[in-house]
Amino acid sequence: MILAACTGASSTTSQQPIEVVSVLGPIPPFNPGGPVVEITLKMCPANPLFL
Amino acid sequence: MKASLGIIRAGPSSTPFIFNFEVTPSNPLLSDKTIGTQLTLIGGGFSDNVSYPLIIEGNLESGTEYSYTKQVQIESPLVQNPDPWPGVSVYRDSNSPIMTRVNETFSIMLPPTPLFGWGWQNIDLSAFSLLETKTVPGSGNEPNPFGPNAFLFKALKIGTFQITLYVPSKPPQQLESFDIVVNL
Repeated sequence: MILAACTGASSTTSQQPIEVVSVLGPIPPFNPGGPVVEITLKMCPANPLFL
Repeated sequence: MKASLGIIRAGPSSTPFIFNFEVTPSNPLLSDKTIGTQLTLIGGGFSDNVSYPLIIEGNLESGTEYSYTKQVQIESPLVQNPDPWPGVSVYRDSNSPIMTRVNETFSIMLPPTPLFGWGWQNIDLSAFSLLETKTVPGSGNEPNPFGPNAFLFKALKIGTFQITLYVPSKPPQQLESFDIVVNL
């Protein structure tokens, strides 16, 4: 499920270089301490990203 | 790069849930590439059809910092991927024989069962190789917090065999025996 699409290639903070591909949970197996959630992100074109 | 998921944590702590992604200058996230990470939300909970803020932060190659918020909903992985092994035949009914070939894979999937999921056995250990097990939802998409209920096998030799799946209690319960015909 695509939650948000890229808003275009840019190196400025006014646009969004990362697309949220999915946020899934709870991921099995069941964990009594709390649910496990998985987030997958995608780099939009022409935005090499460092930490 | 990190992402903070804005859901309520039980107890006195208000520490956000921060997902850290393994992205470094020596391991950058390149264009059109994806990256995923998991986090156990200790003390956290969420609901279906509710949007939560996700704050995404990081630096671009140029050094420019960015930080922005997306509203996201947390989807069940069970809905996302109902087939445990896409492209592999799934058998659910032990009354129907499994027809396969040597070196081909097939899977058996049964409803979620309490205790520790399903165990399996077959008399001729050289006939099959168990490649992988998964814990997946039932056919009605009911959750499976118990244990493995999907099994991926590879047929190794020609013949007629049987694989039995069971709940590993004493004595074993809910025996399901699948007849398997392996052709060349």
